[in-house]
Amino acid sequence: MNTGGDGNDSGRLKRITSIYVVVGAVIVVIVIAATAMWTSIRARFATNEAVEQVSEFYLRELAKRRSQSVKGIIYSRIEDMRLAVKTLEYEDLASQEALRSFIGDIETLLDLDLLAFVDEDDVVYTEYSTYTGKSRHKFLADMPDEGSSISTVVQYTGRKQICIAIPIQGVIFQGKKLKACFVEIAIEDFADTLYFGTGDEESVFGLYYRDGSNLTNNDFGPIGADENLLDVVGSMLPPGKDELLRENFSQGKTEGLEFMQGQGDDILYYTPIGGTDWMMCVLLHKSVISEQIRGINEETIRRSRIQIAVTGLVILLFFGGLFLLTHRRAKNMLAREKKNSRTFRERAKQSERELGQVRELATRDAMTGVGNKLAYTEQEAALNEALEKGQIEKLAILSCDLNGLKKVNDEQGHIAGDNYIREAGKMICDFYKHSSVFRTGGDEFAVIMRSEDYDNRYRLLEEFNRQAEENIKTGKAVISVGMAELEDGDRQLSDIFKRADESMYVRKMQMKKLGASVRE
Amino acid sequence: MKSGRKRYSRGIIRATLLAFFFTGILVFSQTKVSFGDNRKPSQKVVDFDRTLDPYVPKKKQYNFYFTYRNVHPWWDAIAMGIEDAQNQYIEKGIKITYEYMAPAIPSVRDQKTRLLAAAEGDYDVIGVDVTDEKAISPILDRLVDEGHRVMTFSSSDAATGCKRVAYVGNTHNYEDGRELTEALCKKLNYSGEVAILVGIKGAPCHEDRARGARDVLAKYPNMKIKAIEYDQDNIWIAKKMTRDILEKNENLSGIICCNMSNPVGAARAVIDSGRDITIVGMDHDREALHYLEDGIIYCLGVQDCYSIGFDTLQVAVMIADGLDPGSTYPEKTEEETSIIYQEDADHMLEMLYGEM
Repeated sequence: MNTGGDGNDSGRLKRITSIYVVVGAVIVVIVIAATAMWTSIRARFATNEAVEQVSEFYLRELAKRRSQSVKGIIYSRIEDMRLAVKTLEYEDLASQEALRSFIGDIETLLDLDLLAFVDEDDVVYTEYSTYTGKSRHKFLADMPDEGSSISTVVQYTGRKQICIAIPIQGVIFQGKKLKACFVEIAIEDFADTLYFGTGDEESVFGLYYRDGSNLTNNDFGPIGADENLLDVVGSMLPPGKDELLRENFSQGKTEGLEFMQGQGDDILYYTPIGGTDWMMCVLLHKSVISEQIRGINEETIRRSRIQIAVTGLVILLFFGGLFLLTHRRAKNMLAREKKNSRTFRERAKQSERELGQVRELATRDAMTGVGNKLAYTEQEAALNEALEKGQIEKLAILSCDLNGLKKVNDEQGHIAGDNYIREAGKMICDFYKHSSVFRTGGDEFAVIMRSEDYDNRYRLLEEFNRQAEENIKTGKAVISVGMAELEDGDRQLSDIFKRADESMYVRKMQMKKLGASVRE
Repeated sequence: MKSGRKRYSRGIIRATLLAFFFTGILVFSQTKVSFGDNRKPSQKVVDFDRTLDPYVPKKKQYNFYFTYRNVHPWWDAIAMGIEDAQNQYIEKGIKITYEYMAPAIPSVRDQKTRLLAAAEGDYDVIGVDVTDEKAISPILDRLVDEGHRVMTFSSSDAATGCKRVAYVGNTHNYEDGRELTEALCKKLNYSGEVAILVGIKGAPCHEDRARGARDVLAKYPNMKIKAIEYDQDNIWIAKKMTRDILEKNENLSGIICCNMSNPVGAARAVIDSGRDITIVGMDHDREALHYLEDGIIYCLGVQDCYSIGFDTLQVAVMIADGLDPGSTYPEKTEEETSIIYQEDADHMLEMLYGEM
């Protein structure tokens, strides 16, 4: 019973351990997943914030640098022209050919596309030609006395050029005052300077006049070259902001604004280019920056997810292993307990067996195999208790005395005497097969009859006595017996035995008479 | 770097213009269907995709002198063709220098002075857009007699019989005048009062167009000429004259303009008057093209100035090499004029002035 209870406890413990491990693993995985999600969401927020800040900074710097580049080109050309004029002042150019040669040298030296001088009659002198240029070069009509004039010219061929001019004072050529010097730069060169592409993306830089018309004839992101920037962007702005944009443009302010176009936010940043009426514009899809940053972020998140997944997997494997180990350990413990229990039971049985054997040995007569005096005493005690309670109805005792033992011992030795005793025990057992036989002394035996032998007690006594008498003649064991039955008033077994013993002495005397060797 | 960049830029421009050109052909061929009789077949209104003829110049350096009637955007357009031809020669290693000079206002005296001064210079060829054929042709004969190689170009040739070597330019001014006037008459259903504006009195091209206009109007009895005025190639004068004509002729329904400044001045005055007047005119002035776009001007005769300039320089080189007109080049190089209408204006503005 105890072993079965231990098994149930062990199973319960095993189930609890398993549940504990599984739930623990699930909780750990959920915590890790939640942490990963939280990190991811935070990362996105952080990305958006970074995009805002980076976009503004990025565009402002881009616009500023490109604006400086354009301004640098313009002022570089102005410095080139000032150098050319300064050089011209020291030249003694008497002919048109000499001036053309001089212009050619300067163009080569300063890497200019076209350098020209203009006299007071608006006659233009270039390296290869001389022409009247009043109608062709409108800026000549408004040439300032100092500083510079920067204008764009659309020629009859549709070519657009940037014309940068400076006034000249004090230089005479062929009797006429030279009034201006100018260079022309093809607008494509500016467009090349501005171009910035990312794959299939259009240029994100654009030069615009302050009225919003395109200077370079290039598409500006999704805004076509033929479209007015202020019209296009203004149409996407809420009321009020449109006017502000136009005002900022007309006043040459530096600003940035966001507007929706298509499916994403665009950021337009504009800044004036000093000395001109141009605005440097930078247009960028917010998504370009956010995608760049998000790309890096996503990569980080992806790696984190992999890391978390690996960690989760390791944890799952760990808990799984732990679960299996615990399971196996519990199973082993249960098996060991079962084994121990079985061993214990076997040992208990063995002990019981051994105890029985010891008990048997202790209550058995070693020589004859029948119960010894101790056994008889124990039996007597048990029967006495039953007799006292009146629980026994059938009981008879046969008291036996082996005759001639001393003679055998004396005459044939102790071994023969022992054999004589064994023969006697065997004879008694053969007759009283269903009764308890005891050797109560050296040559004394007692038989307690209860069941079948009790019922046949007279016949058995008769047959036994007859055999004993025959043995006198054959030299076999001669046993004198006396039988007594349970009678009313008997309270102790000894009461019955006493009568059986008295009867046995009577018989002993009879046997003596028949020739048996009897001690008195 | 400089020449390389030039070549590169020019290549892009040419490719772009070529695309515009073919688009233009398509547009023109489509509009021809809708306007029927008075439209020319699809053609190059202005051909910017010119390359030099295979002729190989004999020298490595040339120096020319060109003079024209007066400082005006029309001749700036001619100059574009001359410059591109010059650049192509330079790329071939042939250095061409030239002067391209004109007075602020048309002046026979100024032109004579310039021609005589040029005769003193070292020029391979002297070219002139004749301001007045009667006055200038004798000067040209004299220069030729002195051994100078002389040619005429762009708008006006010298008088018949002049000894100049060749002419490159519009050879059909009379026909242009007729064609414009036919378009006007058709628009007015061959009935109405009209005025004719001309540029310089005596300038062959202007006079020829006016003559063509008069001849056409003479065909239709219900077409009446109410005024003929000269604006001296000045827009402000053209406007003033138009305003005066409009005030004096309440039933005026059309104006025929024979030069580049006429239609601009006429359109300004018509806009101011608020009246519905059909204007036909000449040339590619940017403002005029915008009036065409807006429907103020009905049609314009556009000459291929670029080709005139380009061919002028090529012919000048051949003349300088001593070649006479014949198989290499014609005595008169005929250049195209195309009549364009409102629907063509955008394209012309884009092609000529980069307006998109």
